[in-house]
Amino acid sequence: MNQTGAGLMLRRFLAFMARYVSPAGFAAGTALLITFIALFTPPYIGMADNGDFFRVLYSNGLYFHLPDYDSQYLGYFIKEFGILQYYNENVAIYYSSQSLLIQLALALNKLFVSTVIFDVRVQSAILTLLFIVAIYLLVESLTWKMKPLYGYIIAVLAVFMFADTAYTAFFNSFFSESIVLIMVILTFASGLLLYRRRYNDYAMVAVLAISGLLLTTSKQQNAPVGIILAATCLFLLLIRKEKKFKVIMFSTLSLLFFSGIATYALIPKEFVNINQYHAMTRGILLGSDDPERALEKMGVNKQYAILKNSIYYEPFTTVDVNSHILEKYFYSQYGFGEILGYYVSHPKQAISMLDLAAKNAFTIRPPAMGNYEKEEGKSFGQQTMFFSGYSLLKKALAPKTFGFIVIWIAVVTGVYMPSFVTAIQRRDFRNALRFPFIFSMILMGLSGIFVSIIGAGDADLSKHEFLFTVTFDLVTFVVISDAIRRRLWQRDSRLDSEPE
Amino acid sequence: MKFKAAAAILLSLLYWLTSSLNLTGVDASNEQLTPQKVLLLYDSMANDTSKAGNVELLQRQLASFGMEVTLLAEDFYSKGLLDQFNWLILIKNSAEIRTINESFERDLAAFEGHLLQIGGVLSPPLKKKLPVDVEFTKSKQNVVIAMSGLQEEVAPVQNAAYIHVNREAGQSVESYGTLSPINSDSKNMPFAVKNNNAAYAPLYEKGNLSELAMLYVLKEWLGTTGDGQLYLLFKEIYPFSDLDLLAKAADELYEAGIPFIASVRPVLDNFDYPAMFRYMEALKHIQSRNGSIVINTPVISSTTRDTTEILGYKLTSFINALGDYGVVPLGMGAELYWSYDKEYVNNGMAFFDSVILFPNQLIMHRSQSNVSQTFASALYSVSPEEWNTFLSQRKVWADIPTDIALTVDFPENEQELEDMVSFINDQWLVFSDYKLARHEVITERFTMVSGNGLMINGKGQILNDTERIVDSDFQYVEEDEVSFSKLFSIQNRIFIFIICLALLLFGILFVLGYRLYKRKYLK
Repeated sequence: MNQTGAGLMLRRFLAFMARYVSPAGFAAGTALLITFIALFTPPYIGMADNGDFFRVLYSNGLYFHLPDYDSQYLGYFIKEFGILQYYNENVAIYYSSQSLLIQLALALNKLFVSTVIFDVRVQSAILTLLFIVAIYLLVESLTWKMKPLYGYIIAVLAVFMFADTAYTAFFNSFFSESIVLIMVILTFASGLLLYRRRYNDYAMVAVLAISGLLLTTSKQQNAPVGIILAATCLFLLLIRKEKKFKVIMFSTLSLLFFSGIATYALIPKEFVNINQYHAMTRGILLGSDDPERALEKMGVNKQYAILKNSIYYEPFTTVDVNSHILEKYFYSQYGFGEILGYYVSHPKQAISMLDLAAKNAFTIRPPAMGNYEKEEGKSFGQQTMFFSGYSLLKKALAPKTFGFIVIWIAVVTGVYMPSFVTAIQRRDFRNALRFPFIFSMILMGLSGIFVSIIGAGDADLSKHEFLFTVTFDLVTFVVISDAIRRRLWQRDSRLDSEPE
Repeated sequence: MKFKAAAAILLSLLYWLTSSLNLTGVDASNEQLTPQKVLLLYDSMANDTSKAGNVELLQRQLASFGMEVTLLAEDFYSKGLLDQFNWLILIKNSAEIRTINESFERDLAAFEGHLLQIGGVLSPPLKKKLPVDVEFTKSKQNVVIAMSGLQEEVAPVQNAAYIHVNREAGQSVESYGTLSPINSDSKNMPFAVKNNNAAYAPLYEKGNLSELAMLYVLKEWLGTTGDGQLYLLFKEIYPFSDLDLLAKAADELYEAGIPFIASVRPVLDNFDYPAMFRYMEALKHIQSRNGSIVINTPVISSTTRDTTEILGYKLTSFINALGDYGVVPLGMGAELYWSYDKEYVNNGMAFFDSVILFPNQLIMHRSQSNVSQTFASALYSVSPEEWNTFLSQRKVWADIPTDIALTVDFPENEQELEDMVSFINDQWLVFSDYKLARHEVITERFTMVSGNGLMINGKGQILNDTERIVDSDFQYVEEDEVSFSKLFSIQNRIFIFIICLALLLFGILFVLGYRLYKRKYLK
C-alpha cells in the first residue's frame, strides 16, 4: 500500500470515529475500560495499608475485621472492612473531604451490598465515575474544535498518562491521593474550559469551586492550594462584566481562601506531631553540619541532636512521638515559621533538601506498598505492572534534580508568557486565563514539595509529593497537547476561545 | 584534688567491701531453678468494673515470684490441660454463677495440685479442702482491708464477699489479713484463707491494699521463703532529659543515702554523636552515686512483621556502647506484655536475666504468647501515688513479700526534684541497692555482672566520678569522596577561560555587527 493510500485510510477511519465518538469521549471510554479491568476484575488491584487507614476508617465508622490484618500491612491490598454496628466514639479524629466520599460509599454499600461488611470497591466505583468525567473534561478542553487526528493523539496520550494504574490503584484504598488526583484534573479542566468558553461559565465556575474546595480539604498539606486557587480566581473576576458573575466569583474566591486556612487550622494533633517530628529529624537535622547549634538557635536542648535522621515509622524508637517530653520541650519550640526561617537563612541546606525532594518527585506509585490481595498468592509487597507504562517510564527517565524542575518551570513559563502578555495588553482577560491556570498548577506542585520538606522533612516524600506528581503530569500533558495543536507561544490565542 | 582522688578510692574500696559481703537478702542467681508453671484461668477481664486490670496485676505479681504463667480464659480451656500443671489460679470476676466450660469443671473436680481461687463462689475442690463459708452481700459496701500492720478503707465494693471459718472443722485453716465491712460490730473476717495447698481470697483490685495483700497471700501459697527488697526506680529518662538535673538528683540521693535504679531509654542509632557521650557520661555519674542502670524497652511504633532481629541488633549496639564506656546496665525495664511475646523475649529480653515489669500502657504485640518468660529477678513495679495511703502508715517495713520497685517518673525541674526527695525521706522506707544482688547482662562482646561489684568481662569497674566534658565538635555530614579533584580544578579553569574568551568574541562580533547594521540601514 502506498503512502497516499494509508493516509486516505487513516483519514477515513478518523472521520468514521469522529462521527460516533469525540476524542474526549474516546479518552473517557478507554480510561473507563482500563480502570474497570484493573480495579473490578480479578486479580483486583488496590493499595496496601501503610498504617494510615486506621484514622480514616475509624472516624468513618469502619474497622479492620480481618484477624490477620496487622500481618498484611504494606504487603497486601484488602478490599473488605467491617462496619461498626454500635456507637462510634472516634468520629472527630479526622477532618477531610475524603470522609464525604466514604460516607456516600458507605450509604450505597449498606443499600446495595451489605450492612456489615464494607467493600472498598463501592468507593472505587464512585471515584472511577468522577475520574472518567474529569478525563472527559480535560481532553475536551484541549481537543474541542480540533482536527480529529490531533484530537485522538491527545486522547491516547491522556489515557496513557492518567489511566496508569499507579494513579488508579489509589481508588481501591483509603488514601486521599485518589481525591487529589481527580479534583486537580477537574480544577484544571474547568479552568481551561472557562478559557476556551466551551460550556456555560456558571457551570464551569461551579465545577471549579466544588473541585477546588474538595481538593483543598482532602489533605492537610493541601491548605496552600486553596490560597493559590483563590489568587488565580482573581483573573476570573475580570472575564465577565455582569455584577452577578462578579459576586459569585468573589464568593468562590473567598470560599477557597478560607477553606485553605481552615484546613490548616483543623489539622489533628497527632498528625502535627508526626510531621513536626520529621520536619526536624528528617529535615533541619538531616542535612545540618552542626545540628546542636541549629537546635540551640531554636531554643531546643542540643541533646535532641541524637534524634538526627530518625524516623517515627521505624519499628523501634527511643521516644514516643506523642510523649510528654517531646510535646513540652521539643515541639513547643518550633513551628512552620521557624523551620521556614531556618531554610531561608541556610540556602545551601534548603537546596540540598529540594534536590532530595526531586529524587522522589517523579515516582507516582509509592514504593513498598503491595497492589494485590493475599489470596492471589503474590509475594509480600508485590506491585502490579498492568498498564503502568507511563509511571515506569517517568520513574526511569525523569532527571531527578531540582534543577530540572526549575528548567521545566522556566520553559513552561516562557512558552505561555507571550500569549498571556499579548492578551493582557489587549485587555482580553479571558484569553489571558490559560497561563494563570497553568502557573497555579505549577505553584500547587511546588507547594506540595515545600510543604513536604518544611512540614515533614524527607519522610514519606514520594507520597507527600503526590500533588507535585499530578500537577507536573497535567502541565506537561497540556504543553505537549498545545504543541501538537500548535497553540504554544502564539501571541494571538483568540482562535482558542469562542468569541464573547 | 588529692583529697578528692583519695575519697574516690576510699569509696570504691568501701563499695567493694560491702559488695563482697553481699548484704542483700535476694540473690537472683540462687533462684535460677526450673520455674514453677502455673495455669492462670479467668472467667472475665471485668473491664469497666472496679476489678478491671486484676488479671494483669496477678500476672506481674506471679512474675515477681519467678512463676511461669500460662494465661487462659476459661472458655478456651481444653480437656486434659490441667494435667500439665501443679499450680492453678482461678480468677472469678464475674458475678454470675454459671458453668462456662464443662471439660474444665470435670478436670477441676479431679485436680489434686495447688489451687488458689480469687473471688466468686467456692469451686467444688475448694469446698472439700477449705472448711469455710463465703457470704455474699447484695448491696455495695465500704470495706476495710488490713494486712501486715497496714490498713485501708476501700470504696464501695459490689457483692462483697466475707469468709466465715467453720470453727469445728477449721482448726487447720490459716487466715491472712482481715476484710470487714465498715462500721460493723461483727468480728473481722479473713482477707484470705489457706488450708494445705488450697487457698481462697474474695477481693482483689488494682490500686488498693488488696493488691499488696495478695502479694502476702501468694507468698504463703507458693511457699516462698525470705523477705523481698524495696527499690526506688526512676523512669522516663531520655538522652535529651535535663542531664544536669539528673546529675543533681543522683548527688542529692547519694547524700541522703538512698540507692536507686534508673531505667534509661535506649539510643538506637548515632552512637558516635557528642549527645550520646554526654548521655553516657550522665549515666556513669549515676553509677558513681549509688545508682544502678537498667535499660528501658524501646518504644514500639508499629507492629509490621518485616523487622525480625532488628530489635536484637539495636539493643546489642546500645549495650555494647555502654559497655565500651564503662556503664554497666543490669537489667531491663519493660511493660508486662513484653514477657508474653516471643519476638520481644527472644530478640529483646534475652540479654538480661533481670527485669522490672511495669504495668501495660499500650500493648503492641508482634508474636503474642499466653505463656510468660521467667527471669531470675523480676521486680514488681508500683507507683507511690497508688500505695501512698497505706505506705505512710508504717515506720519500718521489714516483711516485704516480694521484690518491689517503687517507680516514679524522673522529675522535670528542680522544684519537682526537691519535692520528690523530701517525699522519699518522709516515707521512712529503706531502699536496697540493686547492684548488690547478682544480675547478668550478656552480649556477644560483653558479660556484665553485678553482685561482687560491677564487672565487665570479669574486670571490676572503678566507679570514678571524674566527669569528662564532651566536646560539641563532630563531623555530622560525611564529605563525599572526591576523585581527580586536581584534574577537575584544572578543567574548570580551562572552561572558565574558554567561556570568557567566547563572551569577549561575542561582544566584539556584536559591536561589529551593530556598526555594519547602522552603516547599511540607518544612513
